[in-house]
Amino acid sequence: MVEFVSVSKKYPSGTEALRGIDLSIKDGEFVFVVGKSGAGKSTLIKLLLREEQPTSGNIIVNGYDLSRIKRREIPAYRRSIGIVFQDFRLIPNMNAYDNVAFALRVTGASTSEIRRKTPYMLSLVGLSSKAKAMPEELSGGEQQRVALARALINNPSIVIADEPTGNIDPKLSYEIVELLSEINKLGITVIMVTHEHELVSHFNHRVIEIDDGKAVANGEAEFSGEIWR
Amino acid sequence: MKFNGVKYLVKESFRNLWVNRMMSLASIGTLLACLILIGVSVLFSLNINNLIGHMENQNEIVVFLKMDVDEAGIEKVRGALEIMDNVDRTVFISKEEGLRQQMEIFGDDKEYFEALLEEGENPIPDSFRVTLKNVDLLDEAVESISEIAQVDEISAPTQVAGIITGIKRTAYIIGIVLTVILVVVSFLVISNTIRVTVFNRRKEINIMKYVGATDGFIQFPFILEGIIIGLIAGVIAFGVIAVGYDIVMDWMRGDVFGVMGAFASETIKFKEIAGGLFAGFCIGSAGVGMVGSAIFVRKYLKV
Repeated sequence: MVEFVSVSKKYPSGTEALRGIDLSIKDGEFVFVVGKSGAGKSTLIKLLLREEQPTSGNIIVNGYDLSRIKRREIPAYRRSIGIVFQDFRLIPNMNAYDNVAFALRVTGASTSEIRRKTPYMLSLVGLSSKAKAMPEELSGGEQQRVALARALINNPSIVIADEPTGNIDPKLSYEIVELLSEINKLGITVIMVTHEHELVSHFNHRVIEIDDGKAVANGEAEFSGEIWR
Repeated sequence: MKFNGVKYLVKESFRNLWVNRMMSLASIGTLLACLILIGVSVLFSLNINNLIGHMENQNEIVVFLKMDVDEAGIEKVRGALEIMDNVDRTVFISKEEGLRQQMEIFGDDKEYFEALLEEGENPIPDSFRVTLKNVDLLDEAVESISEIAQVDEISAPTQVAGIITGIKRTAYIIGIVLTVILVVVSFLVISNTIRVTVFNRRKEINIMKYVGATDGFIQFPFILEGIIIGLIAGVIAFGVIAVGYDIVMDWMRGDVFGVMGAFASETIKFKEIAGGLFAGFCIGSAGVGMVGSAIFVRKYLKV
């Protein structure tokens, strides 16, 4: 469950990125977050990752109140969510296997657990044969699948994907969203930020549009047919 | 942190050192250059101090006794001198010994003294050669000795003592200032190298934070890398200084009749300071590596 209650965010520079957002995402939902550049999508993601704190309001994710969470609790919170970025953010000097295993290692998992789970996760994203490949040897789509495997390895209840198709071939974009949809069918909540209208229209998921720092119901016909509520 | 995690992080530290080997080499090189400069400065200061200490030991006061002082009087003077805090050593020179020394000094012109001896007259009084622990307090020592009843006259090299004290102070100040400057410059240079290393890996740190790594988990390999780099640089610097010192000493000893040869006999033996220097290098450089890494990684942990 993700809940935003009257959330506002004003940066020290004076920019008001979010203005009193209220929204609720139920467990197991797949939600597209759309909006123009500068609308406030990135700030929404930063708040969800607890990279930033709201100026006012409350954000509740997985039982954590992100406005009050202590600094030492942040690592545990982040392990309960999986994150996928537009630029993949793989550790360049680690191969695909180690990049995925790394997320498990930080939890203090045993070697046997790492050896059991990592190959499974790589097979889930179809990259068993590329386990030893370094990030630079992988295509954009493959790198994003490694990032997805890393996001999933700690059994998160929520996956946040920030423009996951932004740096990859349009054809492969559908594969990535398909993969996220498969993950969603396992009961994992998926929040995907994108500005690709075609992609949003193709998949029948709820759409949240951010405009000028506010959450608005917009273009349901153009998108999935569901309205923001 | 579980043992499994520690084992992984130690392995990771060594792997990172290898993966980022150019930066590791740059850090080791920078640290090495700084340590060698500090080592040379410290050794130079220690040797100057040692040399001055030796010059101080040569700097004696001669205490002449009155002509009529008997055996008991001489013992009284000896006792009075030996209980003085600043007196290091006393050597008694009898009238006869004093005369013999004078005759040696005068060489060809010793006939005057030989004539005196034949007549049974010896104009040289009994004396004590006194070496002080601290030449800086020469005036005070002269004053105290002159209060002894049996003392007639004191010959004290106050001018030489003044020069030595001046050299000693200057050498001490230069040594301290030079070492402090080198330590500060070294810390700044090393800090910068560590800062660049950490900056190059800031994305890695950022990713670690996003996947839920704790600050300790992220910092540990960086700190361990800092310690390893410091230790490697410390050991190499020690080796370079040891070999270099040996070469310089051999060269100085080779100048048998020159000033260098004279100084060589008064220099500190390397084995006397090897332990302290090795410990100082290793602890200092590993400490700088550790603290520097910890400080600069912290900057990128605020995600």
